[in-house]
Amino acid sequence: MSPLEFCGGIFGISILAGALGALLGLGGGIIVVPALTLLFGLDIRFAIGASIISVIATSSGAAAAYVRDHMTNMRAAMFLELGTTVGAITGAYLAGVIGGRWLFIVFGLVMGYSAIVMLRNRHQNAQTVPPDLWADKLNLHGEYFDEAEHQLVKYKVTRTPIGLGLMWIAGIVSGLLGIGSGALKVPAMDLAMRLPMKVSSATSNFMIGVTAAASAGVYFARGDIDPFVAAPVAAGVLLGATAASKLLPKLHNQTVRIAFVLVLLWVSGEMLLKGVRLG
Amino acid sequence: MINSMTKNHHVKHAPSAPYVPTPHDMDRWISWLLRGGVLLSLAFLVIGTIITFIHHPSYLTTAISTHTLKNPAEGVVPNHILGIWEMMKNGHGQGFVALGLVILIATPVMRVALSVITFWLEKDRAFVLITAGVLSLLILSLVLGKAG
Repeated sequence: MSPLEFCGGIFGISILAGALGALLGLGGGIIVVPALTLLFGLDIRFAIGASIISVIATSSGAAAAYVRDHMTNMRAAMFLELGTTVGAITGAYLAGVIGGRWLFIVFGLVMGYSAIVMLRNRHQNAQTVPPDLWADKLNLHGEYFDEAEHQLVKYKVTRTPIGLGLMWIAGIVSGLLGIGSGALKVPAMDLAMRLPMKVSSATSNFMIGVTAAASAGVYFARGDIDPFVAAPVAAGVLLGATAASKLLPKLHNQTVRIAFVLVLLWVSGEMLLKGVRLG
Repeated sequence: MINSMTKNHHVKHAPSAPYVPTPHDMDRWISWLLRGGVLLSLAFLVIGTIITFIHHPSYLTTAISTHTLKNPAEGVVPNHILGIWEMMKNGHGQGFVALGLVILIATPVMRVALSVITFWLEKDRAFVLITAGVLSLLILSLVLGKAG
């Protein structure tokens, strides 16, 4: 494989990773890391560095469109970012105190369970949610124009304190394991806070860039971000995410939900396997 | 529909009155900032990659150098801004690529900073505190990461 083929191959796979990540509110690490290590034989250290870049590229690439189209609930995102950033710092400190093995198993199970509940709740009516004082005071409720249903959808946000707590945990997990930033944020917004699925996905997409930027500085200073590998990843993911961001408003909430559940089950299986193998 | 509402809002504003942004202005500003960061970063990534391949025509055909590129020796990967500047001054394509990556990493941080300013202009005190808190935590984690 010549360096040109190496770059071209990574670029192509990154377009896919960016598109999938942008539609589902994930970072694309689930595709980038295995592709770089297994297909291109890259050291895991540089694969993780490139995956952090992929998360930021997915977020910024798609968020420009989601924010303009009001798919993102920016107020909720900015409030919840308090939880994820505190979580990321907590996670960095807990690394070395808590063993990775049990975390992989516990969160593998949590993700598997969330996937099943998300599938079971798919016909729930989004209009009836318990009132929430925090969401009222901070004015977190929102609306977006649903191009698939051709109507303006107004929604109420609920259980804000629980959501903030879950975001803290999501921040800890991504700080500790380097994965699961979006895979835990989307279920927290969908199941606890009851945001519409597409809004959960776009809002998670908006938030993951900030969480990843915090750790990207560390990876960069450590020399884990190899520009030769990260350039085709960043460029491919940016293109894929920008293209996919035009598609999300046109998809039905249910389609996005089913696709997310499938990917979440896959991630949960991967994590359980990793936890068992580490032993 | 939403766009026309925003436009009407602008028309109503007297030019001398202090400008108070609406939530829709904020959406647009943040969208512009993200798009600008992404395009600038992409430009450096593409230019840097082209320079690299022009300097090393063998990269296009032979497989010999792929292994060294995949496993860079210690100190080859740029890990601070001054190193990137040195590489760019010497015309190294990878320096331009690294600057593109730094711009990409900085974009979400700039986005948080812009939201602090916008909420301040909107006089939304709770959200000025919230976003300023996120910005401080981000900077804290960068400082802690460097030290650790």
